[in-house]
Amino acid sequence: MTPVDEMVDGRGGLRPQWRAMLGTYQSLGEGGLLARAARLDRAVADEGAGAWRCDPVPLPLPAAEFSVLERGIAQRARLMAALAVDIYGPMSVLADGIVPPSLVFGDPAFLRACREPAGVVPPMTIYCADLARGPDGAWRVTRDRTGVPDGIGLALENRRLLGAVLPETFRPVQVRHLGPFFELWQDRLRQMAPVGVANPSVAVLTGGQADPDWFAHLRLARELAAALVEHNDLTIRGGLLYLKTLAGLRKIDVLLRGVAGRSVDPLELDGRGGVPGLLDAARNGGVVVTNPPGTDLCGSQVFRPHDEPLCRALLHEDLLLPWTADISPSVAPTWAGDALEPRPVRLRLFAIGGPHGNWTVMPGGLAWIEDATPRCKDVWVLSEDRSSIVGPAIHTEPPLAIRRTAGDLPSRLADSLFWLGRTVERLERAARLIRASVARLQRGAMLLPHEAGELRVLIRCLTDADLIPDDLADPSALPAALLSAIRRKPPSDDTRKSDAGVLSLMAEFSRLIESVRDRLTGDMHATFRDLLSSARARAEAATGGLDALADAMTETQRFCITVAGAAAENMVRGGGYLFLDLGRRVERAESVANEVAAAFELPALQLDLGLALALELCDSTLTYRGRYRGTLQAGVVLDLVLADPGNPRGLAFQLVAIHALLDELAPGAVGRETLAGAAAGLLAQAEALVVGVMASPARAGEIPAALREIAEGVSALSTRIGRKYFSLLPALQSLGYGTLQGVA
Amino acid sequence: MRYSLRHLTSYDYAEPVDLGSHLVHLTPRALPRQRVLHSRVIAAPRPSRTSRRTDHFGNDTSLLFLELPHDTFTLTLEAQVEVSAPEPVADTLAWEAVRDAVDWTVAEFVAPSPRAVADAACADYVAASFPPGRPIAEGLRDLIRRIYLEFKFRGGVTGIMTPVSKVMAMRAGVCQDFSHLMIAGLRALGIPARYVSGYLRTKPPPGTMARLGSDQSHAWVAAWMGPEHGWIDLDPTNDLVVADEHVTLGWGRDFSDVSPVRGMILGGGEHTVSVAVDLSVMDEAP
Repeated sequence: MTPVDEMVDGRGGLRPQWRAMLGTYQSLGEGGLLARAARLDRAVADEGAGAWRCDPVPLPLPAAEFSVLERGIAQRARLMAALAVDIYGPMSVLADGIVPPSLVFGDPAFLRACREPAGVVPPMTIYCADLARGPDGAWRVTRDRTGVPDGIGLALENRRLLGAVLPETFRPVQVRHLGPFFELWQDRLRQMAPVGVANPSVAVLTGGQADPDWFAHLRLARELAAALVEHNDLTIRGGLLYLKTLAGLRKIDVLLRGVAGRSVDPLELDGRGGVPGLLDAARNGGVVVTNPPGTDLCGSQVFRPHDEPLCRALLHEDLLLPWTADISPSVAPTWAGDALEPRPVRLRLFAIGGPHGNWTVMPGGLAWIEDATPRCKDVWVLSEDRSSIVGPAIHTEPPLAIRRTAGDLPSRLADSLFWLGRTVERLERAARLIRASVARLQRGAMLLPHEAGELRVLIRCLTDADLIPDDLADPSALPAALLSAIRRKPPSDDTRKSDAGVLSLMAEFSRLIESVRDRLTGDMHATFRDLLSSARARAEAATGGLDALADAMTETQRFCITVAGAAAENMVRGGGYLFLDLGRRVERAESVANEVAAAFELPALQLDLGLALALELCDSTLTYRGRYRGTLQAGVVLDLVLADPGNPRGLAFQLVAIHALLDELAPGAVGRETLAGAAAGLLAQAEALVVGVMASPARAGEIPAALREIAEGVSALSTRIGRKYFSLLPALQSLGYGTLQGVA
Repeated sequence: MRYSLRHLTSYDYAEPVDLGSHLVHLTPRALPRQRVLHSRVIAAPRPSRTSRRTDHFGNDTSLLFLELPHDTFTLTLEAQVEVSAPEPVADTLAWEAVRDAVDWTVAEFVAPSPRAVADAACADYVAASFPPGRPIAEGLRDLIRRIYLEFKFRGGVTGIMTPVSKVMAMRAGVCQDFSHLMIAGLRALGIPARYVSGYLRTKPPPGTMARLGSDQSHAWVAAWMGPEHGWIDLDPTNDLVVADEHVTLGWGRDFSDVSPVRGMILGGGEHTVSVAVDLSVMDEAP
């Protein structure tokens, strides 16, 4: 049988719901539609939302058709909820022989830890179904999803994107809004909170950036005004669930589960990840987890042949919307790159359960296109009632993220932002040192004696930064070493403890930028990604010679400057930006101290040379010339690079900033033993050094050792910052019973 | 027989543990042949929170949460238990009839489980004790005798994650390995089998051989013989039909369901664990 065409009826006429819509698309013309489709693709790519794409043509569902589906979906949702309660409770469907026991006992989604033979089984509240319309024109369910609301965030995003890119398509038809559904859901989640909680807080549990649904979770969390959390962000204390933030532990009352049920609690379940004690907390009413972890089981396809007897036994009703494994889905017009072509589509609908087993179906959804690339359509439920209509989608802008102060920042995010700041700074330093070295090497045989001296300093700096091997004694080996600095691997697995080659730093940047994704605007995220990929391509290509290397490093340096500037311009102060800035300042303070020390480690005869190089390494040559003309004097050079709080490339500036940032994090903390006090102490050390050298130039010999000491002080301060603010983050380890009897 | 039971589990950590969560199956199960006169578990340091419940298999379980920093964690089970031997069974069904009589109440113990996975070698090995028409009890007794004679009891060659296939290949292991092997093979035949966790009396009855594995946690197998005879406990490590020398803590599909103690810790660095068990007949107790 030929599949049904969603757009034309069997006699070749347009179905009424398509008639008006198609007019709009025709008025755009093929070129116009091409441009809009490209804009949609770009908008999705800019979101960094993964491989999925949004088709410019939605799938309309007439009101009458939707209301039939709505009843069928709500009934299936009730059936699945009743099945979960029965299997985790009395197991009557097994005792009565309706379902073969092996279907339950052999399934890893059957969580024995969630069985409540005598107690109360918590209700399922979220249900999704995939449907297809067969050649006979009837919709059937092809898959039930009883675990997590897979893809509901994408439905939100599709609606927003279409509203932004193709607003005129909403005009001729009356499309029902998604807003009221999510408002209802927000209310229900808060009503679900444990008894006695006055102002419940809700969080969405995601598997993290590696989770393919991460973007959809982020989108959903924003819509529900909920925090987006990963299991490492959470901890159980006293039978309650808490989010680890900078300000301490913050209670979570309702956890909307976005990960598989079997991986929420490693103590009682065998899956990886999760929060030890979460099941116990949920069982004892400390937190509500929804869907409850055990419900994934009910969506298993093996139950489906038993749906009709199950429906009669559990609901005493006949099944309205049957399941089928084998169907040839209907086709709908889909953008195929140059024209609209019919493609098979599957519909996904979503429903949420209320306190009395009443289910509400979302008036919208997703339609997956069966094609090589994952693409989906927005689903428009049409309204016949004028009063419930609004023109274009109301969600043309992403909803605002919740406002947070520094204290509300999850510790994990603060940690990532801190290291993002350090990584950008390390990358910038690598590019700067490589460029400075290349500039001298390019003079080839013409190298003057003082330039050879400078190269020795640069080699020391490059070695300190782990960009070249420790044992590079002969400057003639430097060109090859610089070229391989691009691909140098970090000496240890822990990229945070040691520097690494340019590409490794870029990879770390890329990883961190994804992990702080929900703290960046879409534009910032897209800008960073685009610039990084072009800087990376240049760096990867720079294998031929020093010229290409210098060009690539120039681009890398520009990339770093852009990142720093965009962050400073676009990120709200006090929250995430504070840690990003702190990371940068710490890294720069450490490298300025080390590099100036290296410059002064040259033999005393070459002091002038050291002074010039110190200025160059601190990017302060122009400033110096402006102030002091050409005369180099140790005292004033040192003042500019070490003690002048107005020089943003100098040491004092970093220490003053670190002090201010730490003070902002812990206002009012005074004394040398506080973090801010330690920063102030380091600043005093730097100032005393400069004052000493100015008073007696002969003391210039003390500079390297004093600066190395300051660098170590900064490094120690960084460790203390980590311990104070990110110490809640270490990974869990599991504790076996060791061995059973006889095993020595 | 009345027993006094003492089971000590102690963890030593190289660095302080900030947060420890432990799932414990350490309470002897009340059974028709096992009366629990007294039983308590002492945890040190004292947990900030304890939750007790009966699990899916009917075992008594506890969750212990330690929320203050600690360097050691000790669990002591002290109990007094009275155990009586079952009536000897006769005239059991042919094993095929047992297989065909499996109903939903025992079906869980025919389904595969994570730690008891039969490979072809295991299935063939166990099947050799069950020629067509052989009464189930006879086949089971033959099987535990063969395991006892043909596998070497050797500690240290296996761990808690060792798969059955490796035990088959080595022909060596400890009680847990022999139990998993037997369970996996019986299930491959369609006979329900479960893993029993417990203890074996420390000093054997006068005039009998020294038992293997009596100074530690012990494990054995229960197999289903049909609706009339129900479950029978068998100890393949010692070639014993369980009578009154064993004390039962609980059971599950395999070790992973009834591990006496398992936990997750935050911090702690390296750790060592030591276990000591004493199961003495009451009038012999020191």
